[in-house]
Amino acid sequence: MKQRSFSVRWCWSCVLLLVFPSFLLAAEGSASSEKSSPTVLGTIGMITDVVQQIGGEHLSVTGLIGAGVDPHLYKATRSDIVKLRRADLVFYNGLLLEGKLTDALIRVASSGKRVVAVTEEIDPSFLLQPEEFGGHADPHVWMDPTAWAKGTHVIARTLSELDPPHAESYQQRHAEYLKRLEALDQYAERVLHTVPEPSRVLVTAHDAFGYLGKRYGYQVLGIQGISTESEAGVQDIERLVSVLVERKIRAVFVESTVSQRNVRALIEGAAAQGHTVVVGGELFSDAMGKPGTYEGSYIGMIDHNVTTIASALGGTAPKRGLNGKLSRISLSS
Amino acid sequence: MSLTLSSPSSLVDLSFQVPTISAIFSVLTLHAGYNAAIVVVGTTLLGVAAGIIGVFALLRERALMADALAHSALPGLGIAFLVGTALGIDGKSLPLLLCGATLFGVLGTVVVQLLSRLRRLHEDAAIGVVLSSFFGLGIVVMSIIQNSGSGEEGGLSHFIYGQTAALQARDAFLTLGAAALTVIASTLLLKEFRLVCFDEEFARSDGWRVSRIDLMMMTLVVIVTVIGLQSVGILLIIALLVVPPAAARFWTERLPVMIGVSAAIGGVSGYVGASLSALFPRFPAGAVIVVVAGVFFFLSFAFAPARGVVALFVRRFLLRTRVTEDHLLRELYERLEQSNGDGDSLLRIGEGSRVVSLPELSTYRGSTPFARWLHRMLLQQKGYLTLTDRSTLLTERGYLAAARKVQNHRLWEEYLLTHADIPASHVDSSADLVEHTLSPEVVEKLKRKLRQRGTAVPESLHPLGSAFEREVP
Amino acid sequence: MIDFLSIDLPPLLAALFAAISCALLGNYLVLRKISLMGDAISHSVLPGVVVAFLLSGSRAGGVMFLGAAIAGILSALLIEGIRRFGKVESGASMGVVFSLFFAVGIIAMEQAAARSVDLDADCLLHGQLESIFWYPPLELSRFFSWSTLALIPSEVVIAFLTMLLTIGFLKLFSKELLLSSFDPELSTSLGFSSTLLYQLLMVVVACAVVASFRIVGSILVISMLISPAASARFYTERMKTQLVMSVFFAAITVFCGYTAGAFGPLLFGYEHSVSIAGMIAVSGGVLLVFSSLLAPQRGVLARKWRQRRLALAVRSDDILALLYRTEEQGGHLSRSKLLAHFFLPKRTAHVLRQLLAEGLIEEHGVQLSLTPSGKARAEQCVRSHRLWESYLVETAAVDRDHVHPMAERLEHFNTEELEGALEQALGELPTKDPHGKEIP
Repeated sequence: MKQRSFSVRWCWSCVLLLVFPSFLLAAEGSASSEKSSPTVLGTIGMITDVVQQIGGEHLSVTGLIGAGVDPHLYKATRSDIVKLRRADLVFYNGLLLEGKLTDALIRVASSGKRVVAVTEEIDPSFLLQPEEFGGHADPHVWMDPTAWAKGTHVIARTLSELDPPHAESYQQRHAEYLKRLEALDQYAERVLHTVPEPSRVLVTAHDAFGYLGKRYGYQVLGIQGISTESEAGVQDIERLVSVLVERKIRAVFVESTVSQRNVRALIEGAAAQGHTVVVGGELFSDAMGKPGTYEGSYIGMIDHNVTTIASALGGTAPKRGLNGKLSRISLSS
Repeated sequence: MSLTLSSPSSLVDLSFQVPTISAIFSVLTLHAGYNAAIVVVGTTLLGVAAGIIGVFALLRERALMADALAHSALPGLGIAFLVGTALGIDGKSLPLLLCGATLFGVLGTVVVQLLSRLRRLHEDAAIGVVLSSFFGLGIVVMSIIQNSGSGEEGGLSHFIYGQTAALQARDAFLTLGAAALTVIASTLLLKEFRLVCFDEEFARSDGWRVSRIDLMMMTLVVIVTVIGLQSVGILLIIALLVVPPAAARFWTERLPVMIGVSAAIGGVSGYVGASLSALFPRFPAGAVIVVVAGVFFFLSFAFAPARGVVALFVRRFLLRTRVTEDHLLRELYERLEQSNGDGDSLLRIGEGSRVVSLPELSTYRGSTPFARWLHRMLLQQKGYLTLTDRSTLLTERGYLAAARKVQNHRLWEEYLLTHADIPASHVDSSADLVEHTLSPEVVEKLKRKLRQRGTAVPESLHPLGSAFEREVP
Repeated sequence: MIDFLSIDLPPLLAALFAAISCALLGNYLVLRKISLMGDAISHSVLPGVVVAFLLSGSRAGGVMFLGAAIAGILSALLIEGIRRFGKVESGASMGVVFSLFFAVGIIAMEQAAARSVDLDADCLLHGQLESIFWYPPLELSRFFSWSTLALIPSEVVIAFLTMLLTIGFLKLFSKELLLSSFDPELSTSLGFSSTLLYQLLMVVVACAVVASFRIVGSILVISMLISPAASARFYTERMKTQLVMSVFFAAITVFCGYTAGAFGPLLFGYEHSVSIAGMIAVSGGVLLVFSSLLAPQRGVLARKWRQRRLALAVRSDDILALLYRTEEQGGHLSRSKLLAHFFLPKRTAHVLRQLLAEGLIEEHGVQLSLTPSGKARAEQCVRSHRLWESYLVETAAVDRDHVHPMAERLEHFNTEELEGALEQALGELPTKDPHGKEIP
């Protein structure tokens, strides 16, 4: 009996320990909900980052889809809907990137709120779309900084319309940001072109780097299609392996959002033919790096990708990237 | 810049080449390349392992156990990720995720065991409840993770699932181990497994530890499922555990044979499917294997001699033809009987043939004109009937056969009425049932009893009408 | 309040309507052991989605829905067909069909070079509860007007219509469905084919399921097809009551799940809500576990309690009978001797306390003795025992030496009718039992 009452007490104290701090947190959460500046909401991290850069201190910017989350699979919760409805302006990527969120975005737009697709000004002929299925373009536009720059135009203009008193500040900050993007683009071109021409092949776990390949002249080969249901065939794998061997490609790349297994099979296959391929590093495709780090910003993410690719495929790139802020380039085998 | 470079993937070309004989040969003999060989070997072994253990799962009505397990692994995956991140380990390390997933998968399996022990729930409902509520919990955990802001969670829900075409040597060895384990376990424990599968109650009363044997069986299923999930993906492992056993069940009732057939179908599906995927472009390996297994299933479904649909229909058709012939003869006899008093006086009148005019047979219910025509033709063939354009003539042989049928039928009716406590209004249809559907041994035994009662055609026990009308109570 | 009206009410209603149609249909699925139909259809819709995309070149919701509905109906009919003609166990039949459908979908996707298009049924077909919100007019006068109706989210309307259609179908065929669920042969002989009826039911299930996918997503549908109906089975044997209860349970599950998903985390100070559909599915599971434990007659606890009560009643009979026999032979029994006579002395002591309190037994010092009312009860018991013994020896020809333990078990079945029947079977009432003891 004594044993039992002890365990009961133990349980209760655990419950109390769990519940008590949560009340404290609740009190804290409700206290800090005052706002004065317009609220702008970006769906994906890449957009939120740009809005923050351009908006600066004049706006309160919130992101919806967390930094590392795959936007295809994002499922809004009730609190996200509340955020979405409270925002004064909403930016989203478009091209059906925000799969299940699209319905909610349409609803919000129907109420008369401005809901803007950042890809709306990009020329349709620029977009990568399968010939058979026009209108179903690859939404990963941010992989090409020059295309993303077009998106920033949309953001800057819309912000100026929303908040005319600070329009000048937005324009100025936008111009600065454009310069940084231009620098990024030049850096990427320079670094990626240090890789010898035949080796300019980017083998990744899934098809997300089309725009990067198109911009910098790389052939992009994904093991898996864009859809999570997509599946590779044995012959497709064999063909990828023979591409690796024939063109003596030194590295393949893994992604933060897709399992490494598929890529490992390629390495094994190449090794069986006497050609050593390594994992060139982890690339950011649908999601950026950890929030608060350099890789957690748009420029940092692209910088990371470009630097990783160039140094793994036999080019030369500064170890710590364009701005000397990259934390690590992991070259694992 | 050339076009091939700018296309997102050069794999997207729709050319379709028919493979040469030598290409086919080299794939089938594992000489077509390292990855192809690994995939062909790995999936064949997995097909064998899943085929064997799937039989037991099927017989225990837990065919969809793998499905439930795969779904209930989701919360484990999420919780493992959260725990890993909280502890500062890489939340996406595969062993950690696999541990979490397996833990919850097993937990789900155990809950299914517990729930299905309650009498009110069938196995399928128990599996369904576990599947849906665990998967729901997984979705809840995932929605917590997506807002936790750790910045690494993308693609988590699919992270542990492998792709068949990207099988590695390590997976193939694991699969080999699983196959060996299932073969050994099911050989050693065949007797126990059989008892639990076919006669659980008896096994329990006979002192077997049913739940322990059951647990062992389910452990094997879990092992094969987990190995399959992380190496070939969710679709293929579910299919390999269900389809080959379901196909094998059409061929035989005997457990060892069923296991053999199932293992063979699983293995061959893996071998053929993986080879096809290696021979043609854009043939996703897992899906192709499933389709090959599906073809085996439908072939068995249609053509297996024991339980196949074609065999079933042929048997049913033959039985129906025989029954209807009998009915027709009886009908003719009873018509004559009604118009001319009892059958004996008829026999004295008749020389040659007896006349039953055709319109009187209009009560021929439930048959198409074609069937009517067919049955009369068949009876004519046997020399029981002569057909003229206006009437149907019953020959002497036909009359005797009909009398025999009627005698038989009425004896059955009497037997059922007196010995089986079947009410008079129902004896007719029940007698039909006995006549046509009981096994010959039983009928023989009953006949012996009846034979002691003489051979004359007894009086009908109920008011006469058309035999065809009476078919419907 | 405004938040509730515009953000919470529509998804609640949509979930409620969808859950009710699923729960109703689920009763028949659970009864026919195909309760995983929702899961099977959720996998089977992929080829429909892919083919619809390939034919129309569009990812619009309507087209996807049409393709999915056709694939869903086909798979449901095929599952029922294989189950019936192949006599395959229903789980296997579902597994075969949905894995095959899914595989065909994937092959079609890859072969048509649609791999660069994101064709994911979860993404394109399945709706999401949280995104069903609206902007109602905020003034009271404008709120209660016809124009407000036009603003109601289409999902709510479709869910409502689906529910009406489902109820209509079940009402229309309620007798036939009931009959063919329990006695398919009789129903066939009554003139309607149970095969046809089930194919029709499968079509209705497939349509309702795919429509509900479109509105509330797959997990809620899968869960609501099973949990409410399975829970209701713990409370009743009657189909009609079960149908009503399943609807009631579906409603409770939806409300609890919604509250827990939308507000639960906020109560605990976590600033983000969690998936509502997932939470509703979890509450479905919790409801079932509660039902299986706590249901009044068929629950585990009720069964355990009944067993214990029976055991106590048996023990009290045994104690009385023991005292009676001892007194019959002129002996006396002390408390310690009595306790030593049975297994589980704790239970015996408990029962003894009860008997003392009821005034059936008296305690004088250490001696126990029967009161007059106790004696009457004990007589009844011993009489039943000895009657059974006589019956077993005379009519069932059981050996005299083995008869006592049997009668020991049977003596507790002593209703009046049974006793009457026993007396009748024994013909003349014996005055002595086979061991030569008097029957009271």
